[in-house]
Amino acid sequence: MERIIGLIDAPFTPFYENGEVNYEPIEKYAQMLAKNGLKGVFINGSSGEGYMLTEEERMRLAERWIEAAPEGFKVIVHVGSCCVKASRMLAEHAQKIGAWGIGAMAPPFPKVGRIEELVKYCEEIAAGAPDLPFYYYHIPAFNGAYLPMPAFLEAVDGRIPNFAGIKYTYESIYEYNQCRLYKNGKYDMLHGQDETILPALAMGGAQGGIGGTTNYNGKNLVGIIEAWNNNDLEKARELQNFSQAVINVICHYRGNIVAGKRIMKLIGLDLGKNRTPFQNMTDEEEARMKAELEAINFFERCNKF
Amino acid sequence: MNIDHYLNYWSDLYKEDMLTDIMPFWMEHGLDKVHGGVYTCIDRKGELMDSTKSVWFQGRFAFTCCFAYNHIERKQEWLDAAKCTLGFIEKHCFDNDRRMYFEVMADGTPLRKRRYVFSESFAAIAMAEYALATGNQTYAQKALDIFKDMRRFLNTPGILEPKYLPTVEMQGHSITMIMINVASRIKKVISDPELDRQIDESLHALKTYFIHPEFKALLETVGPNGEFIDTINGRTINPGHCIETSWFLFDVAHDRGNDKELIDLGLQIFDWSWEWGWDKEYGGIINFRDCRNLPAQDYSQDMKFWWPQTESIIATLYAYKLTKDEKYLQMHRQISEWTYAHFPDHEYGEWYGYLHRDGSVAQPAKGNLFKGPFHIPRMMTKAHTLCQEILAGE
Repeated sequence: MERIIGLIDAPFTPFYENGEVNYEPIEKYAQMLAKNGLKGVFINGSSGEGYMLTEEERMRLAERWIEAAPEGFKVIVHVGSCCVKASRMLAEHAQKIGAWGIGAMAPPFPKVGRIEELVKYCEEIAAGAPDLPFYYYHIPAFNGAYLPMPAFLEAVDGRIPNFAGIKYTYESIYEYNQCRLYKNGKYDMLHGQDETILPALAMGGAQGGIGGTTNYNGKNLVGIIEAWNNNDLEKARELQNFSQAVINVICHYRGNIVAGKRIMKLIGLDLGKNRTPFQNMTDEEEARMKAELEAINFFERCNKF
Repeated sequence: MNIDHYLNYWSDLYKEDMLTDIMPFWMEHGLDKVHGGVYTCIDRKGELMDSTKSVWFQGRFAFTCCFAYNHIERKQEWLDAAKCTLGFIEKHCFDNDRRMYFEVMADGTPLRKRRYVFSESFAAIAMAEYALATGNQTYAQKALDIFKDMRRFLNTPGILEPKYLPTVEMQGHSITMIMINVASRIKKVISDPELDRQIDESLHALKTYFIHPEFKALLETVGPNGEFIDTINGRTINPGHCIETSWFLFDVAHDRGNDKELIDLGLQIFDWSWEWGWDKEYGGIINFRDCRNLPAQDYSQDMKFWWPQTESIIATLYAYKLTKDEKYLQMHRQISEWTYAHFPDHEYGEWYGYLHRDGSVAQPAKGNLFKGPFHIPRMMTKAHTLCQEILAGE
């Protein structure tokens, strides 16, 4: 199975002021991401407010992203939902319309408490798109699925034929590395924490990853991997530290989905607000966030159109 | 874009919306089972706000029912509603001079007559469409009689009161384009040389008088020989209206064996009007523009009404059908996405009609004397048919 090399972006979903999905910016969005070094998108996930979209909207977004994708730009469709039947249907749709791959996180309700249920959940979904690589999206802070991932890999091994790997969005780089070492790197371990790309690289991983802050800080995050591969450790450290400084700012304003989406507006692509029940940023907060970003020279270094 | 998939998606949605949303809304809340005819002053939830009946809408509703019957599904209740509304028209909406009223009361008592002939135009297309649905040629003849009366009213000085005093002479785009559509619809059920004569006269006026290449625009009001009138009214561009004209021309082109010159004329009008009308900031087709980019007078100038959007949906699909240029399908998607994101009322059904420039709802009623069951169901019916024709390789 093809390995993902480079960074994939988890895009936000554009909304109109009245809360309906706005498909129009997607083409410009895709071109901007490609221009700044991103290799593809992982759509309808947490950054994309996937759980707040109707199935119809998720399918149309997938269609639009695939159409808008420049040559060679991967579109991976997150199909996870609380309803495994809907997920499977979304997986079938993704395969039918020519997605590069699919992924799913564990459902936030009911909480998955044992490996067996998680494997079964993934198995049923992955079977909907047998020709596409399936990635499990490990993000326990969102859904409470704090299960040991090496044990999960052992359980899926031999059971889900199109299982490709894990998008690992958790703070244990020890566990990340243990997964990476499983059967000499049998599975594609996509690094999913923009805060810690450099330490993961140092352990031999993170040549492929999926980012959330890549939407606006992609150039610098891509730069970490490039600098590392060029043996320029000083530069890699500077870029990782800068990227953490950007993350510090969004953490003051309820994180990537809320603050990051608003940063898109500040860099020239207004994607609208977040869907209820997200607490949207006020204009006053936006002004304060902008000042904080200016203080770290973010706007000189961010993604460009 | 997977074109077959795209067209099937929209084709199914148009039909589904007609069957489950738009027609049921008006059958339930609009149709007057006591006196016949249709009410259109309906609030957001479907409650009657005013029992005044628009004569335009008696014809428009009867047309809509028959058009849907002919192209969406042969539902007897639609045909019955059309018949009952035509009965109301024939009984109550004509004055003794054969001109029609503009507003009547619920029971048909006349309230207002105006100086133009749009009530007649909608009654005529309704009767023609009813004749097509039922094979009843009496109604084809009645439609033709109304059409000939309209020609007489328009061409006989003194019958219709002029808009201005004789100090200024001008002609308007509205009646010119409406007459094309009226004649085209009637031609489907009865033949008469006056129908093509009217179409030719209107085409001549559009080409010679109303099109102003120096502004890349079709103007709403010009002098008797097409002179540009440099006043606020003379400079007004109504992009949605011009886009409606463009697909009326596509209809004529189709009837005349895909007349290339007519298709090109329609495309020219469409392309120019889209350029003037598409709101690059907020999306959607805007109400009015001034051809010299001066401020428009009408206070609704920057609003988004339902019908310029529906006409654009028809025109883009039609332009794609005639040219197979994917640019028009991209435009269809552009206008459809904005329209479907902002106009449908997912809670109470049907569509809002009046939005602010940014797409927020200005007033939530489903109808009044000017909005009712016409542009939205006509779009869904026509667009469904166009999708089916394109898919069938026509």
